[in-house]
Amino acid sequence: MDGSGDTSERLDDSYLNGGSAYVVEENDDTLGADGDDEKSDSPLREQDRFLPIANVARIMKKSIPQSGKIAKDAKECVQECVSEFISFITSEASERCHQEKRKTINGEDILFAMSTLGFDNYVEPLKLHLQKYRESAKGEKTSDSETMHELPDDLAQSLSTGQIMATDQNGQQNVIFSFQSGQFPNIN
Amino acid sequence: MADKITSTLPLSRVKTIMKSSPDVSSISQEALFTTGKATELFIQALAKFSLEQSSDSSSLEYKDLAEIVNTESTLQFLQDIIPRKIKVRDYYKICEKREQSEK
Repeated sequence: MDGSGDTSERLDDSYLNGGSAYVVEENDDTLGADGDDEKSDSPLREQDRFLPIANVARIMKKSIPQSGKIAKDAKECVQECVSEFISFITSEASERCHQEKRKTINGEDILFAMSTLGFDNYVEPLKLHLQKYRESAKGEKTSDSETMHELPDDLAQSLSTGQIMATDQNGQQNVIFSFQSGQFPNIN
Repeated sequence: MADKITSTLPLSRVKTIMKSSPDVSSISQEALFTTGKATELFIQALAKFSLEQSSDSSSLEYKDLAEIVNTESTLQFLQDIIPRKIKVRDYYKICEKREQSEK
């Protein structure tokens, strides 16, 4: 195990782009052949660069019919896509922040980034989630960063076409809300 | 303790990934929460949409993901992450052709 954390370890050399462009190792500018180590290129272990595959797989399973199966390489693939998605949104949001001479990325920056990058159909549901989060954060004066505060019943029902499960714990409602409708805008 | 039966993602890990982007100094809790939620929606959409486009609707395969990444413009940023797979021998054939056309 060389543990270099290189993404090319996950996809071996026989996986190459079809069509007009190919991924060719020798012209690999993106990996920065010279002195890549000089950048603080976050020496993240592979497991830190991705969200846990169990969580990812669980979420995937919720969106497909129960009888559906997901291939292992599809799960791994989504796991990588998700990290890329997060980075993609973050760098867009970060750029906006810099343009406005701010140092901290806030919720609005993320929403704006999503809209800019073509995920504007996520913005409305996210705004509602954010609103509820703010309200619950004010009420509790704790920010529990490990669990996500979900929409309460009344709001979720007006939005969702999917399932809602609610658990009460310590007077706090966690409503898990599954967003079923199509996510991708029509592309012309 | 609520069982986290469903779709929670570890926000600490989301934060780690966000911070690995260049020039990111700090991230508000709200930004973190929003990103986590957005990620969840993204996973759901990706899975659902790929399966719908797939020829075999009972099983989601790598190739289904590779396909939609090439057809949906919002997913273009994933094209390098999910290249379509070709067999090595087909690649060699393409290389040969290239060499021949360069001569």
